[in-house]
Amino acid sequence: MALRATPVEAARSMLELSLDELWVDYFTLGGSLLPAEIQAFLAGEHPLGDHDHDLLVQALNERFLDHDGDHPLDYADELIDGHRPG
Amino acid sequence: MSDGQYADQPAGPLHPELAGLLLSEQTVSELLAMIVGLAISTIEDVDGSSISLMSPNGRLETTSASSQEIRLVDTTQYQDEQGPCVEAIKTGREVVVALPIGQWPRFSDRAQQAGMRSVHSFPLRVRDRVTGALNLYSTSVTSIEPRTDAARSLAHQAATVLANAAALATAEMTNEQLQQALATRDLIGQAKGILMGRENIDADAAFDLLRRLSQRSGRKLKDIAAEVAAHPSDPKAR
Repeated sequence: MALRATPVEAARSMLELSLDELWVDYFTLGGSLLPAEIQAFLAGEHPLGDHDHDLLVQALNERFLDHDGDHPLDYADELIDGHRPG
Repeated sequence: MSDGQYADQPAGPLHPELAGLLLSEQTVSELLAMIVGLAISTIEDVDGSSISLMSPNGRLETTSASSQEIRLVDTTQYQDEQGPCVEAIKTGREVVVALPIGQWPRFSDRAQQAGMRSVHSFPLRVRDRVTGALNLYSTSVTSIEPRTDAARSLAHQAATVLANAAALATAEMTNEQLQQALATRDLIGQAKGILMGRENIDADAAFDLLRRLSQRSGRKLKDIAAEVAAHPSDPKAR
């Protein structure tokens, strides 16, 4: 699961989003985990289910949309064993 | 709850879910006051509103009320351990009453003195536990009933605020930002509900459908959700 966290954390860092900002976006999309749980996932310490992972990815992809990027991060069903296929 | 004690202590401690939030209790109170204000401004025929919460010592407290009169009506319920709000918290079910109601005479008299003719109490669930109620008062009999969906949505938002109170308080959101976040969350929830019914899928699959449409069209999920919510019976609207 840490493999999954790496691109998400890298995207958060690239977008210069604070944990709180990312959590607010995640919450707005319907997420129900607390910031500490998101933080533990980003640190590779705690796995997330597909749905919560995809909520975070959607939150980040929408930030990329604001910067003319179109959904660069992969969703759970696009990953194989936590990796981008190929 | 029959052995519980009830008292009106507006300045008292908040719910255990909010424990550890001493520095931000004020913020949480503001959030709940905002919900109470929204009930009156956004739901037709709601003339009074309050939020009752169970404190750590088992007492019910009105943490926000639209007026002192409404606060007194709530207090009567806590003192007598009966009334729509107490019942909603005890049973976890919505309670609607038209006044007068002989079953709860003191509450009935007090509410009528405040000019109210009907009351609708919605249980607030925080992580599967009923921790309080959103109470809506109307000067018309049963007039709140047609607005139940809007009220239920607001009760859900109040519970969401409570469940996430610590994070919301520390995220330093303005009231406008919070209001916007809750409205978007609610809109996405509505769209998911429509898709679940229309496509016979569960909530996670409904989200997947929305995010795929977002990905395919290069548009934000809230915009897709708005289209679905605006045209609930149109399969093309997604």
